[in-house]
Amino acid sequence: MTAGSYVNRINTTREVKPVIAGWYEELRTAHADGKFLAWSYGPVPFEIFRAMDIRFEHLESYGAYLAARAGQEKLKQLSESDGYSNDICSYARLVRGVAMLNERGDKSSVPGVLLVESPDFVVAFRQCPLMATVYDYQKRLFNVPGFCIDTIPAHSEAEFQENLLYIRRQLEELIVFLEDLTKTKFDLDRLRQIMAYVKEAAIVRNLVLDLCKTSPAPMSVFDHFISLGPAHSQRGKKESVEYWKRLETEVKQRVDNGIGAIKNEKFRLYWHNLPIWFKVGRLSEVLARHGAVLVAASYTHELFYSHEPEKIDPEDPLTSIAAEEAWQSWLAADSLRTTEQVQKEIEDYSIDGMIMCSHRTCQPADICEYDIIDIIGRRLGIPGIVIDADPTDPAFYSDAQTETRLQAFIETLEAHKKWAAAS
Amino acid sequence: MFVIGIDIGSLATKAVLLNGKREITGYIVSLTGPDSNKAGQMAIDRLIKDAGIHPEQIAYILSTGYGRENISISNGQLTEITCHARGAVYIDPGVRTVIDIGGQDSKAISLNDCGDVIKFAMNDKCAAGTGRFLEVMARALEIDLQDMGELSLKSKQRVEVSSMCTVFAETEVISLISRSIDKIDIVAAIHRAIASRTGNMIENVGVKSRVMMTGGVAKNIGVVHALEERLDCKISVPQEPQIVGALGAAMFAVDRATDEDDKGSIE
Repeated sequence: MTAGSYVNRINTTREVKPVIAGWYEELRTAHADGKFLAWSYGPVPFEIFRAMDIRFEHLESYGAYLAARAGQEKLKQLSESDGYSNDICSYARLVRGVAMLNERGDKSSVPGVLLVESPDFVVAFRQCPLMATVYDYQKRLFNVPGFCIDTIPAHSEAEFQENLLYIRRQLEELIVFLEDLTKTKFDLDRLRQIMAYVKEAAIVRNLVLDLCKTSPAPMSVFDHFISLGPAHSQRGKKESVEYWKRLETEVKQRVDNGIGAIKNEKFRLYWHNLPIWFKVGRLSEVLARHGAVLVAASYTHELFYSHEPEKIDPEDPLTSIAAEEAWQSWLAADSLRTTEQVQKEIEDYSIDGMIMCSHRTCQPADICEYDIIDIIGRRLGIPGIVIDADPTDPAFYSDAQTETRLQAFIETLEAHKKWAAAS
Repeated sequence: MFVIGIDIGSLATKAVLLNGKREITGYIVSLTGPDSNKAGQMAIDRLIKDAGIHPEQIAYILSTGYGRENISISNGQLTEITCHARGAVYIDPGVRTVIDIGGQDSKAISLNDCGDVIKFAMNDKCAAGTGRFLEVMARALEIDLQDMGELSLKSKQRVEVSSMCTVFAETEVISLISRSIDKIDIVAAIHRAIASRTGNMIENVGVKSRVMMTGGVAKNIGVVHALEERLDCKISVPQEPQIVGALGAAMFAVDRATDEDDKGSIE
C-alpha cells in the first residue's frame, strides 16, 4: 500500500501495462511484420482471428486504452471537427480520431498515444446499433471489405439457443470470408488449442472471482478492470492462463493471511455497466477512503467467458464461441435476465449496495438501471445509486458530483447498518 | 461546549453555532467566492466573534457541501444529503421528504420514520432549475432575484418556458419579452418549468408527507407554490431554509464531540 493510500493494489496487475504496450506495438507494426490487421467492433470472435494469425484492433478495448491517455482530447476534437456529434459513442469518436490521423499520414501529433495502423478489413458484431453504423462507415472510409455478425435480441432460453445456432452459422461464413481474404486455409486444430486455453484461463479466472466472496475481499473490481487487458489481448494464449494462475496464487495468499483489497472494509459494493476508464484509480481511492470495496461487477463477472466456462468444448470451438456471444446478446437485450444475474452476484458476494453507472454516450447499455434498483430493492432490501458518467469522455463526468453521490450513498448504507444493528 | 456546522456551497457559505444543548446560538450566511477555504474560515471567525466566545470553546467543526473537503480547520465532513436530512428532521421530526435547491444543484431526499436517509436523487451536471438558473433569468428580465417569488403570484396569463437549458431558456425569455408578454407571467412560467423538471426527480425518490423545502431557492415563494402544484402536496419552508444543511452538520458535530449515537440532547 503506498503512503496515504487506502487501496492495497494487487501486485500481479502491475504486469498488465507492458503487456498492453506490446499488444498495441504489434498492431502498429502489423503491416511491416507482414500480417493482416482487422478493426473490430463489439464482442467479435477474437479466437478465430488468432487461429488465422490475424492481428486485430478492438474498438472498445482501444477506446479504453486511449481514454486513460492525455492525447484523447485531441482525438475527440478531430472526430468532432469531422462532424461526429459529442453525443455519439465516445469509443467511436476516439477511434475515428485515430482513423483521421492515419488518413492524413500524421502519426506523431498526439503524444503518448500509440496509433494502430489502418485496417485491411473490418468485422463487427451487431449487438449495438451504433457499432454497426460505425462498422459500415469505417468500411467505406478505408474502402476495405467487411463482415458483420448479426444477432437476435433473446428474451428466453429458447431464443438464446436459436441465436446460438444463428451465430454459429455466421462464424462458419466468417471463416470462409477470412480464408478468401488472406488466402490462408483455416486451421481447426489451432482453434481447438486456442479454445482449450480460453477454457483453462476462464476457469482459473472464475476461481479468482470466487476468492473475492470472502471478507475482507482480497481483490477489488478495479483490479479486475485492469486485468481485462490480458483477458482481452492474450485471450486464447498460454500466457493468459499463466497470468490468471499467478493472480490466483497472490489472491489466495491474501485470503489465507486475511489481507483485504482496501484498508478497512466496511461495505461491499456491486458495479453495474462499463467502467469509467479514465477514473479507475481515483474512484478506487474515493470508495476505499469511505471503507467501501467493489467486489463484483457486471462487466467483470458476466462477460469474457465467465458464464459456465466448464461447458466450453474445445473440440467444438465454434459452438463455444457462439454460446459466449449469444449469452452477451441475451444479457444486453433482456433486462429481467440481467436483473437475475445481478441478484445472483449480490447474494454470492454479500453485497451491501449497488452503483449503477449510467453512460451518456453508451445508451444501449443504459436502459434498466432504475428498474434493477427497484426490483433488487424490493426483493433483497439492497439499495442502489445511479451515477452519470461516460466510459471515455471526461466532458460528461464531474468529480465533485459523482463523489458526493457516492459518499452520500455510503452514508446511507451506514445508517442502514445502524438500524439493522439496533433492531 | 460549542460546535460548528459549516455548509460550503457553490454560491453561499452557511455556518451554524450550537451549544451543548443543541440550541442555535448563532448562524451566518455569506458568499463563497473563489476560495472556499478562505470563505469557510471567515464565516467561522465571524460566527465565533459575534457569539462572544473563544475559538478554544469549539469542540468540533463538521463541514458539508461541495467545499466540505477544502476547509482546513474542519474536524470531519459529511455530504449535504445526510446533513440536510438531519437538519430538516431537527426542525420538524415529522418530515419524510426533503427538497433542497441550492445555487447549482438540487436534491430530493426520502427519509424513514427514524429520520434517516433511505433514498436520494440529485440533478445531473446541468445547473438548470437551480439558483444559478433563476439568477440568469432575473438578469434577462431585469428584475431583482428576491422579487421573483412575490411577482409570480400575481400572474394572470399562462405562458410557457419549455426549455430547461439555461442558455436556451434565456433566449426563450428574451423572445417572450420581445412579444410584450408581461414579465410577471414569464416569471411564473419560469417557476413552473423549474417545478416540472425538479418534480420528476422528486417523484423518483417518492413523495411522502410531510415535505420540507430547504436551500436558497426555498426563499422564492413562487417556486414553492409551483412545486406544490406539480407534486400535489403541501410544502413547508423553515424560517431560514439556507442554513438547514449547516444545522444538520452541527448536529452531527455534537454527536462526534460527545461520541454518542443516541442523537438526544446533551448537558
